[in-house]
Amino acid sequence: MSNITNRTTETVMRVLVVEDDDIVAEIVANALSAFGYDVAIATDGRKAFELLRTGEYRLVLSDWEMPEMNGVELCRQIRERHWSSYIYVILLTSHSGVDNTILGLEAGADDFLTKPFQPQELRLRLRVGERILALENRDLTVFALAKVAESRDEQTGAHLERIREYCRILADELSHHKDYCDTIDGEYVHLVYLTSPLHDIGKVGIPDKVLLKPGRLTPEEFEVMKQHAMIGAETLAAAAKAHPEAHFLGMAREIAMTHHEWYDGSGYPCGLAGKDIPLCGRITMLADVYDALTSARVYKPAYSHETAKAMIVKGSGTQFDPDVVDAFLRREDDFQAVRRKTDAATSEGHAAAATIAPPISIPEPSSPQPVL
Amino acid sequence: MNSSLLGESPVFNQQELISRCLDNWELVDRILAKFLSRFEEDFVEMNRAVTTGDAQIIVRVAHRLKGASATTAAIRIRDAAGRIEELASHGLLNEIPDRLRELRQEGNRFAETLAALGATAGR
Repeated sequence: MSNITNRTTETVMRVLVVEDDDIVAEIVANALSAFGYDVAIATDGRKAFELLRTGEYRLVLSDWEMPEMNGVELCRQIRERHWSSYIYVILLTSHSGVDNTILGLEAGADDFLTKPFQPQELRLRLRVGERILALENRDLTVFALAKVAESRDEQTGAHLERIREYCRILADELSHHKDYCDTIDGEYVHLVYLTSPLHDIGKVGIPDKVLLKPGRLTPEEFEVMKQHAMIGAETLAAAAKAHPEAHFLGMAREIAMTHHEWYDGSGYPCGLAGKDIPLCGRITMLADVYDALTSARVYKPAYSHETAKAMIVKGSGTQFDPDVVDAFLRREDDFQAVRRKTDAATSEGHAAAATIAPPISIPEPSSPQPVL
Repeated sequence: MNSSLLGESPVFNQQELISRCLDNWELVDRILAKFLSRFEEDFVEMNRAVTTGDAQIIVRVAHRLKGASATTAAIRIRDAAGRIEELASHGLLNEIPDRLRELRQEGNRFAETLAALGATAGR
């Protein structure tokens, strides 16, 4: 028996093989099973489509020529229907030539495998499909996790949506800076956008009596609250270790851990200073503070953009990286546009809710509270 | 494609099939038995289709046999079936009887090769 690595993940990927030739089907199924996949076989496109409707298959390996419905038509029908998640289709074919490739791609095929197939190539092409399918899950999962963490405390609506937009704007602006143009590319900007919502995920580990306290925190309570940075970092580090292929978790960990580090070293949890603070942390720090300043809290009203800007400029070099502050100043119009857009969306939501439920009275804050 | 060109290809690439079956010898034996049976069925069906002049059936069956023989590493049968598929797809039915005789010869050679290998040789 050749050396085949068994899959160790608990979730076994199911593959639907669509092939009317039982010889080819059996050899393909043998290879897929050996690679750790769970295999089902349909003998024509129509039967395959019915199996796909069960929602159990996201990877399809289909022959081209088949009775009832051929592989190209199956592809077309898959793409015409709305599914709960993406279905990755590989066409297994002896048809060669650019024209046939175009035909298959136009019908919606994601990849091709030429008959007679080579097991190793089959395995690698399926792995490509798995990576594509994993990407679809990633973005949804990250934001959902962040939303769960946010739901416990009293952040105003759309906080995470604004944070990621602010971070994206800052990263984009810094990508034109001579000191950062080698670090920040489109992928970096997207990663910051994707992972910055996880900055406060550690708050799930903070007791309600501290997290939800409306008034000023005592020094002891503040020490408890500060732990959210390390809790978040440790949680994300554990996830990154379990899933080394999920590189985005590395940036998420850095942001969770360093978004309260001050540029002058007086922040927490580690007292990092200057450029020792990861850039993504420096970016998220400013975005988070700006949003806190321009949002209403139980203990304070929402400050205007000008007020928030003045406070951020005052903190340049102490709390904030001067480069990030400069980027903010160059893009302040975009920041205000994000705020207006989310406020408008929130108002529409509230207006719709008001027609359904009676208004809720909010108690007046007992005394003014510090923001930063 | 004439016989001498067909003769340049091996009849059967045993190692290729073993590799494709991931060294599963039971599967190899099962596939070879199925293929021999399939060959006879497809040959009869194509002969019948030549008699009725049904090019579409010949194309379909030849294509299917070509795929199965390629997967089974029955190289010369693959080539012979491919030639029949091409002729039938162009409507050249009068040239197919000769190609079917070639296919018959390749089928016989394949069975003889398997017999010589003993079907279990190399374990």
